[in-house]
Amino acid sequence: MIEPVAFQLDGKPVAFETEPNRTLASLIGQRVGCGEGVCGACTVLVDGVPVRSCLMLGVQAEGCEVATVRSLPAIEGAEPDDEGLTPLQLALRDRQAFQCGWCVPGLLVGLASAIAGRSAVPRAELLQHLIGHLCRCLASAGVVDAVEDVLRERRIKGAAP
Amino acid sequence: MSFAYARPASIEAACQLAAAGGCVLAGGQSLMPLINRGDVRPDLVVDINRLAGLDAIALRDGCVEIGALARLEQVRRDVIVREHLPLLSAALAFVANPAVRLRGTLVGNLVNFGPGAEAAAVALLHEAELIAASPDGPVRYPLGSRLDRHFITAVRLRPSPSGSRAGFYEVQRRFGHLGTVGAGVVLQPDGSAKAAVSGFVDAPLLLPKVAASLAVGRFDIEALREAFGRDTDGVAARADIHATADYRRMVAPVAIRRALQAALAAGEGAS
Repeated sequence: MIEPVAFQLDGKPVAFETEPNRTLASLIGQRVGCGEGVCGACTVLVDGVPVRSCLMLGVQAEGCEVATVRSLPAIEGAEPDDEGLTPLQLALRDRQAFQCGWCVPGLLVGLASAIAGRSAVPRAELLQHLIGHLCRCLASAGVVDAVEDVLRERRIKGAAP
Repeated sequence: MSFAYARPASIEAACQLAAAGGCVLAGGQSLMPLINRGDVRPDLVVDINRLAGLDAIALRDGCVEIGALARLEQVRRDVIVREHLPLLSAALAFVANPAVRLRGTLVGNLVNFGPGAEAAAVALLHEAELIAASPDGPVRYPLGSRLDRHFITAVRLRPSPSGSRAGFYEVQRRFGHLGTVGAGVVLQPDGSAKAAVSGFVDAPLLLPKVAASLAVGRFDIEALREAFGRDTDGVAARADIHATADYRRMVAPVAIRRALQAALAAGEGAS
């Protein structure tokens, strides 16, 4: 049985005819790690809430707003630089906070959403969020440092006249 | 092989589809991994996510009633839950990670009844009843019932007496991942106590001997170990890739002891 489904993907309307068993991840070509909700690689925002797109059916997104890493500037609320990189991406690069990169799109969406609109987040809370984003290259310590860099930068900017 | 998909517009319609063999999909954090792995192959998936009013958490007839669409993180933070079911709030902090808790539901977690489910141990201590919608009105089922062809709309939990102190602790190989053994403890103002473990066998287990030991103020690890041994005499502990049966038996009293410390630290104010 083929079902129609239409939703906003990174601000643009999309429509599919799909078997209902296809996950949202499969429908939009999101990178998948485990298929069980453990690794976080497929994290996207659905109506602003982080969702494992491997644990949601594509047809469930009907009428929703789906945001992937392509919407990162909007999620972070920051303009990208000349290379098209956001503050979080730049901080991860500066801290060399990834290696193979498999986890990174989901990680960026998950963390950007967790710290959206905030300039101070306890380290313990950041670690809580990182539990849901496995990095098999073991670069997670650098990720925490990178996120703290971003938060510090936000505080400096917020304090500026 | 694909399945048919339905998004019913009313509880009655969802109930009929479930009775016809449809598989109810709420948060999907238990069901979707099973479907992805091919362990569950439904003919029909009944998506209840857009049904209105099922996310409510309310006091009713002295019990806390939590709707089928109340998300785990929503339940964990809820003021009614924090006041009347502090053990549930404490236990949910050990379940998965924030993103999974934002989507997964308490009712889904309890219906799934996984062997290590922390919330199930808490629900057992609070005399949980799952409420199924039916054409003849709501029907109540105890935890662990076979619920195929039923649409569970809520779970009902009996609060501890006012002034109770509660703590939960779980031994996990990595924080936020599947637990090895979890323990919940409630110290009640009349001096009585309750205790349960998750993950020790395939279902949550009540521990009356441990509770009796706690009630007489025996809080030391030796007493807890001895009481736990009497509670589980002849019980075969689970063994899996994460932990042997011997390890689970050794570490369970440690989890109970830490849950007790959390309960003692919780102090007054919890009811």
